[in-house]
Amino acid sequence: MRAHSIRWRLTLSYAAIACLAALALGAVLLGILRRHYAIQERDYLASNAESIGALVSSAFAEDVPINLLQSQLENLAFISKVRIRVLDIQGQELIDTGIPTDPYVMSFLYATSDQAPDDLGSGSILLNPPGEPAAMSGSVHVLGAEGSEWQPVNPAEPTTATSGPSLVDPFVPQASVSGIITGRTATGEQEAGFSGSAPADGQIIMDAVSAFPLSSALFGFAVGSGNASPAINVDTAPRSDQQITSVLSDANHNRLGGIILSDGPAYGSEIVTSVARGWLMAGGIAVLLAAAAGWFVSRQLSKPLLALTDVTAHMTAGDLSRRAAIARQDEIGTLARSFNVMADRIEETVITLQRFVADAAHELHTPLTALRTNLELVQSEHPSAAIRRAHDQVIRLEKLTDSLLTLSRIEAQSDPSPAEWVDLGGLIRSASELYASRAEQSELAFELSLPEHALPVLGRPGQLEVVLSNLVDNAIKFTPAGGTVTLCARTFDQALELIVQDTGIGIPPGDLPLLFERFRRARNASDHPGSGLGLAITKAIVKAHSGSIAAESSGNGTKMTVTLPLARLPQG
Amino acid sequence: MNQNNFHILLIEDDAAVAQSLQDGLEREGFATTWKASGVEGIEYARMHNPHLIVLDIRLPDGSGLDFCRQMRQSKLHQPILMLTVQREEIDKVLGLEMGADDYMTKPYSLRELLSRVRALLRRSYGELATINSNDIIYVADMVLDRASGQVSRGNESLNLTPIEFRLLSFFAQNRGQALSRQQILDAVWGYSADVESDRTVNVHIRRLREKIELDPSQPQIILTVPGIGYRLAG
Repeated sequence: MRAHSIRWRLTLSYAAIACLAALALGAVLLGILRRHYAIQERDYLASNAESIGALVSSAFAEDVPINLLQSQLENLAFISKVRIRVLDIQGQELIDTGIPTDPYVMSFLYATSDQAPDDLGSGSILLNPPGEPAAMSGSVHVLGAEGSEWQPVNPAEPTTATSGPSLVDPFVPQASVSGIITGRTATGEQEAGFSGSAPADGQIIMDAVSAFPLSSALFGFAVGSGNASPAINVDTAPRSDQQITSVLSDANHNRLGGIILSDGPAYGSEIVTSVARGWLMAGGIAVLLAAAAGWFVSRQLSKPLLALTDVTAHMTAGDLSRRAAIARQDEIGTLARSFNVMADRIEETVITLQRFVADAAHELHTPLTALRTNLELVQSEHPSAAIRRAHDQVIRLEKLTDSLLTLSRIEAQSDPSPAEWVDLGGLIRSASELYASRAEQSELAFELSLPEHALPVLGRPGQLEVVLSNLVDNAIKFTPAGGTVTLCARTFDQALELIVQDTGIGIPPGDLPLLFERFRRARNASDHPGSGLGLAITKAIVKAHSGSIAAESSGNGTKMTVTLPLARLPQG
Repeated sequence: MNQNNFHILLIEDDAAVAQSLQDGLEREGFATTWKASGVEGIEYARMHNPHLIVLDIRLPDGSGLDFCRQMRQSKLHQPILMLTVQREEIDKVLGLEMGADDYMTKPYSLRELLSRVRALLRRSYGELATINSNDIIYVADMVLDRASGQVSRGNESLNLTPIEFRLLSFFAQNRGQALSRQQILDAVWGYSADVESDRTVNVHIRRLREKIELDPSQPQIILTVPGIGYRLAG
């Protein structure tokens, strides 16, 4: 099927429309989702910025050292999973918690004491980014058993005692811890690894610390195994590209500096990604379905059109009784119906014309036959020049009638014989004896040049014979005794060329263009009998066989070339 | 072959054509009967069994082709010559398939029609009558009498020279076969072959055609075979 056929074009159009619709829909949907989540991410950063801003403002106001503030902010950054940067009033960066990276290590420190009040369970949390010992600073929070209160504790300068990469090494001095932590472990078990210390007031015995690597997930933290490699817990959660800058000012609205919150958790990204993936799949299926629907619809459209084309081809080939059998109520049905009405009219007209030609042939030939027979009877009994002249004119009239009717028949395509496979070579060979005999009687040489192989043409042998004999008879008629008539057939490409060449009187150049018109005869042909219809008939037949005819002439002869489409040999 | 013994039935609806044809045939010595419709014609043929039927293809009560078939079905076997105005191949084929022996298109030349009638009659009855005579040769509608050296067509005698007669006889002996000019020279001119040329053959053939062909410009009896020589048609 050709690429520019309706079938393909409609299918492609359907697919393209579906593709465009899916793209537009997807773009809108994803745009809305992205915006929604961007707003959420922004709100999240904004609310954090408000709280953290308040904290930093009060820290500024109390002149808390930067490193203490930094460790605070790092913990906050980890918990809220955002990057916090603090700027001074000149815009210089004071603190940058960096992009929240994992894993963190969370250590629990338990202390037991008999004297501790029963209703208190306590734990200490130490959060440290591993691999960055220099930046490490522990901070201890004491959580009441109710979890209601956070009390920041200022740790002293970190000491450097290492006990392994995964364990927290610089630990807060027990003195300051012991001052705050009271209570016992929830489990009552002691953990080894960090033994007790000198209590300041004898109340508390430091017992143990246990550490867990932590990784941050989108919706909270995950506890990893103690000896896991940090690489396993690398934070893969996507980060938001939103950023919030808020200006810090004191109670008197003096500018103190600013904080920037960025790289917060990108809540929407996974949803957006999976929606995009789903949309791509749905879009692909939609395009395929649309293409299938397009194919179906185009079949519905092109099938009747092809049927109609088939009918016109048959009608062109001469089968005028063909009609389009398309029973549809739509525009194509209307087209088929009006086509059939038109075909009825054409058939009627052609049949009327064919009948007229047949009737005319009969009606004209009958009196001519009687006239001719009677003249021939008189001529044989009482020969006279007058009777001979009358007889000649009857024959002339007869030939004229015959030629006109032949021409009408060819042009009305009323030849009842169907087109068939004809080997033009065979046709020429079987007729060549007649042509050679005729040429010989006119004292002309007759040359025949034919290829060995067959020359297949789709046509009517009777009409093709008329073409041959008209051309050869003309050549014989217009060539003086002693000349040569050549009949040559050859093939080239997909065409067959039939050439009749003579060494005759030629055709004046001015008469060449009108040579094939009815009743047109070359000026130098008046001495030779003829109706002026022979070449018109020849041309009509050649045209009816989808061929062409051309004449070339010079002072020493004429060359007529007939070109016919070469037919493929019939199968079998 | 005495043409007075032959009875020809004409089935033709047009009176002018039928009467002129009757005149022409009767002057040649044939007995004729004219019927203007197919039904009448068949009835007459059944009753009187004519020697030959000339049948027009377009009759007021039906197609000549149908009547032709009806006649063959009712065991009428005499030669039938169809007359038609349609030159198309299909008519020829149909006419012959329907059982017709020959056909002619209107308008015809009386000479040619008589020639066809004679040829049909000779084919059906003539050769049987002269089966014992080796001296009689038939070429188309002509009769060659080797004893007298005479050639006749119907009542007409054709004046052939002795060379032309030998030429025609040689063709008749090799009917349908292509003969080279050398073969013809050897057979017709005999010992003098070496001094004669191909040109002599051409000239004699042309003259012979002018005497025996109905239309010498369109030879139908002796045909030129390109690249070989000549042959007698049929």
